[in-house]
Amino acid sequence: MDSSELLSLNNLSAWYAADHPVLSDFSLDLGTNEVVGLIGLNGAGKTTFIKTVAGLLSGYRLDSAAWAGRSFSFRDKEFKRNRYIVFAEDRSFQYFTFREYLAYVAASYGVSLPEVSSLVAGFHFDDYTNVLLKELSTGNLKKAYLITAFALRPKLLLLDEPVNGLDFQSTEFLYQLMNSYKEHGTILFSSHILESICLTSDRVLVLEHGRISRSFTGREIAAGNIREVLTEYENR
Amino acid sequence: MKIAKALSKQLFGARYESIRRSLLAAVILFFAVYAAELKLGIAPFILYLTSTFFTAGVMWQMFSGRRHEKAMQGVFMLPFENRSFVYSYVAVLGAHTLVTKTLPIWALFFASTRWSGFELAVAILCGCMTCAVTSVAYLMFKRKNTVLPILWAAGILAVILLVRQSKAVLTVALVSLVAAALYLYFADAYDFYSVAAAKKSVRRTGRTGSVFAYLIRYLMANKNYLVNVVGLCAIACFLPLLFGEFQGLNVFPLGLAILCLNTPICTLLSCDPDLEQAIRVLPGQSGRFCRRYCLFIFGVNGMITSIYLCSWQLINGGISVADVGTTILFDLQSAVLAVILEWKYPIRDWKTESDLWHHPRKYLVPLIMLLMVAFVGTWALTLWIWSAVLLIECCILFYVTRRWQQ
Repeated sequence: MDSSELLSLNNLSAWYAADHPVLSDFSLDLGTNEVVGLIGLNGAGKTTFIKTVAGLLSGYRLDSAAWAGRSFSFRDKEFKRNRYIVFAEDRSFQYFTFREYLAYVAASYGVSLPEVSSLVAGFHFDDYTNVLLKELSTGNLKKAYLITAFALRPKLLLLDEPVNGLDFQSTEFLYQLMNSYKEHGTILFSSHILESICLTSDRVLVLEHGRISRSFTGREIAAGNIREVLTEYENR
Repeated sequence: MKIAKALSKQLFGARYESIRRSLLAAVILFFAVYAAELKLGIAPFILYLTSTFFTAGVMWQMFSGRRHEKAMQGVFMLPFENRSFVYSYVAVLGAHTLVTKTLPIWALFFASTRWSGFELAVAILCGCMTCAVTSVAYLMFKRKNTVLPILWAAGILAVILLVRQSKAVLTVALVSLVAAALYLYFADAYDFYSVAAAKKSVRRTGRTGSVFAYLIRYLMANKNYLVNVVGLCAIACFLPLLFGEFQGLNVFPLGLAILCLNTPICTLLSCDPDLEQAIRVLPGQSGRFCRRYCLFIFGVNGMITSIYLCSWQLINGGISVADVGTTILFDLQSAVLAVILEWKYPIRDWKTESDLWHHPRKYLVPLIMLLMVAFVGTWALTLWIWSAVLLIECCILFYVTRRWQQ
């Protein structure tokens, strides 16, 4: 195995109902310090994949899984401490403020309280840091979880539809953060928006019927190429 | 009719499966009690009182449930005819309440006492009338008109409790039903839709992310939960009065078992699927969150049972150190069991808060506690053995959760 390989999954199948697998023969290798975009039509299995890696789904099977070269399971505490997940829809810890949530999550990850002033300023979130998460709008809530994610700097960041709900300025700031995150670790994110995939990804994986059917790297990553593949799938 | 069908499918399931399940449960319950030949002499007014006020409580919960509110948003988006919507809405919510919640209670009553056909009909009519009257009371409360519904409820209560005549109850039920139907004729469907009031955001300066602060805010923000806790405190005050009449029996622990039935506090994770997801995704939560959650339930239980303890001492006297020890054992054991259940077997696939609150799982901890009451009452050594077992249990859980946290 390559020493720069962070996560390797071989032939992953996942299901909610045993007779209807959402992911099947899904294999993925993630290197250290790269940004990988996952794109696919609705129902392709993007969120299911992220939930499986989060350890939320018990209905899954895989041939092998390696984290930094070592065999692991999704619920291993060591793996959990090295990844953070931002879900597409999340309204957890509603009775914490952002500051309290950040402190709680940092303590859970066993790290000291990170400095977030530049992230808070970048996302124009200054006015909301001491307001209960319950009282935040969808976009501001997404910002709270994204700031936490980037402040923690885990080795692997999993972002499910990170752009959804964000305003123009925050979206631009998020792209900057994603591009510079390679200094700290790896990002795997799912998106429906071609722009976000093309502006940030080192590698694009196209998910179709629960498995990766195509991948694009370097100069191949262009909206036209990806659109062509997705349209082809849609017309099948 | 379309609205009624859409609402029914939303509440009962796409194939009305919860109707079948509830009917089956009621039939099993009826025959189980009937076969056990458990015969009680229950006065008809108790049956009418239960049919009316239990149903009213569940209906109120249905109207004010947050999950239900969200589901209703989609229905309100559709074009509809106002009057037909109002009647369909009340009828479907009423049917759901009667079939899934009141029916098992009726099954118990019907199986344990011999009733005449007239008394059964009056009881069922009381249930139906309550659904209509509660919906009217809910609308009146929303319009800040609180006096009339309170007087109305007091009037019904007075007739059931003071007159105690089936014919009088029937008359009141029929008049109330007609009055409620008339009020609903002029009601606006959108009055049933609650728009979250825009409150001024409160700034908080906390920096630590304390689970206790979180849980206290959670409790204070949900009035229904707070009312439940206050209700338990009230029961804790009056139970010694009731139990004092059982001369020669050690019924003190029975009260402790009853008082651990604090549903909303013990279904925190089931009630908030997003929080449950976050707790499972973040590292070390079995220790960081669950231990504190357990201590919180222990604290709430402790507050309620302390009231019970003081009330017992004031009314009956004779509270000993052993009773204080028993109280602590009940509080801690029920808290530990409640958190283990929430962590291992959270309740999922519920449609309304009322489904969650009346899920059979809630009776598991009190049932175990009732078994402990039987043991404590029959064998004096039980307390010592239980203390040792609970200590070992806590040590193991502390060790396991700490290992996961590191």
